[in-house]
Amino acid sequence: MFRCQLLKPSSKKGFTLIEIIVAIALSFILLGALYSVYLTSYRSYRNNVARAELNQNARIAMERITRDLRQTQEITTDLPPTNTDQLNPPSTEIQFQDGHNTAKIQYIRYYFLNGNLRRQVIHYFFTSDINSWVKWNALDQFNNSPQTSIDEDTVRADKVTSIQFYGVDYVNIIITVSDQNGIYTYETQTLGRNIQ
Amino acid sequence: MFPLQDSSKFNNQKFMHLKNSKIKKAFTMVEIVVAMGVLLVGVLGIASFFAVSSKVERSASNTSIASNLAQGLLDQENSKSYDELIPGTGAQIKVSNDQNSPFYRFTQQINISWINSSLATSQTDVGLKKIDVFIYYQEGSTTKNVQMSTIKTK
Repeated sequence: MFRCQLLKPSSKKGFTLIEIIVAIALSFILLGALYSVYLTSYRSYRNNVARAELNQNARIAMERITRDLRQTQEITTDLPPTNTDQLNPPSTEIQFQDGHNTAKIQYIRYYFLNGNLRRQVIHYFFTSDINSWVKWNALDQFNNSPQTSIDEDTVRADKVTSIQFYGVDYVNIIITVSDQNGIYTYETQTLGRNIQ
Repeated sequence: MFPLQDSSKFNNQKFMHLKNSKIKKAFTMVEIVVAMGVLLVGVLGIASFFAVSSKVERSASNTSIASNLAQGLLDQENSKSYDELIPGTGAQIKVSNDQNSPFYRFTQQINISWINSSLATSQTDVGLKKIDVFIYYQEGSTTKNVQMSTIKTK
């Protein structure tokens, strides 16, 4: 009995080479299919994150500008009435008095440079008295314009492709943000509540 | 009796082994189809998450753009004087008539009404007007809107 078992090895104890090769090939196909699903999902996820980020950039840019602009007493940039006149195109920057700083006369300038929306904080002074901050269009006794001091210059939003400022009674702002994932344009109008 | 029993047991085992090997040698077609079906349902289930997330992203973007348009429209109306605001229900008009404009798909509406000091709709002018602005846009098959309101005093 013992001997009989030894002589007759079970023919189905293991896999044959063919079976293993087929199994490996099949598992590769399956893994490949799953990987492509994973890749598609990951790409879709990345795209959505990138688009959400783009929207966030535009939204933040808008919010920053409108928050500052709404409080201002005076807009110093000469803005065209429309954005359709070729001869008088909309401005890509805007400067206005900082309405949040009631202690001193200070100006905020938003401008577009190398794909970024930047914000400057500026004040004007005469060399005769550097501690008193004056209006942007002030003149001293010799009819000289004041000196400019840029106190702060920071990036407020990136991936910006264009900025337009125009309008008479209120400021129209159009911001376009884009990268390889998409393009979004935001528009709003802001009324300076304290403009006389 | 003892060896006999042993032998029958052996035969039985051998038989079982044979039987097993004949029936359970491979997966049947039905098993494979079911397994692939289950896998497919799982994979498609996961893929549908991304379709949903893409939709949510677009929805968020539309809401942001529409909110900015609504806020802008509100400021435009706010820039007018009290008497320039004529009470009534405004018409729904396109934000931009230019087909290439990114705002072509948005529609705006401005409603102006008299209100009294307890902010309820009034039939007479007591020096308070309510401005309601709406921005409508199509999202899939549904029309969505963003509404903003403000009050103007004389």
